[in-house]
Amino acid sequence: MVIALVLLGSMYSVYSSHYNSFKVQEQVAEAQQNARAALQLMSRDIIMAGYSTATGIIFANITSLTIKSAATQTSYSRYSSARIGRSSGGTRQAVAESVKGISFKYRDGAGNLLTPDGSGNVAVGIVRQILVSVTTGTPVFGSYSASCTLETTLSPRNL
Amino acid sequence: MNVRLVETKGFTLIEIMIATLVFSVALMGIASLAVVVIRGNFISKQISTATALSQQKMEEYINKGYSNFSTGAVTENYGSITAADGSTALYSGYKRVSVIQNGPIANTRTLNVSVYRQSDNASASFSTIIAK
Repeated sequence: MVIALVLLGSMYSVYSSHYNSFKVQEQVAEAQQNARAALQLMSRDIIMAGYSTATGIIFANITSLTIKSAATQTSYSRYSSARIGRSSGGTRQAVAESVKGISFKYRDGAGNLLTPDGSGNVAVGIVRQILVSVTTGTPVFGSYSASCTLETTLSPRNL
Repeated sequence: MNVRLVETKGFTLIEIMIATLVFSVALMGIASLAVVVIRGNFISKQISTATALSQQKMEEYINKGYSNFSTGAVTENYGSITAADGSTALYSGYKRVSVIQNGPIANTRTLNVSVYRQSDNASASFSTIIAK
């Protein structure tokens, strides 16, 4: 009886460790998918900045960005602490969930990084390249947290 | 008659203990499988990070354009690759070496980015050609 109990206990512990590892991997995959999808959506919009309009970038901050393509203004920022929102034509929609961080950096025509001012803004007129970085992830078990950081450089051809 | 009676008594303690031993060996096999799987997952995450880091560097050079960088090697050692938030802790276990050479034909440059992992010194290497 005791031997059987010990055996059953060890079987359960083996099973639960396998299950935990499976759950963690699921979260890691989800974090990667979230980051990839968000970055792809943002790239598609941001690359069109300046198309058929005089000012392609309306507002450039280290945590948010508003671009203009033809007559449409589109802005991206983090909201509700863990989402990336896309505002276009007045309505805001979530494009990514469980976001830990989003940041923008900017380069001028010579490839130099622009230094943001005290409130994180950069001069919109000289921006030629945008570096977008997205970190996604959620705390899973105890100290382990699944997270994924992806970064991309965008050169809108109409700026 | 006597022999038959002994046979119908069931298992002895010794037999059960041997069976338990055999079973626990099998259980240990499954447990060690978990260790291998977790290690594999960890390595695959490191490879994903290394790939993202080298892709990021390549995009940086491609977007800079041919005339805005020169040939040579740039090494970002362990602990010097900064994340978007300015911290170096996230990528402290990675080293990135970017090598730019002229060629293979006139007015082109070959860019090779290798990202090394500190844990096992294995690397993810990518290269591309940038034209003038």
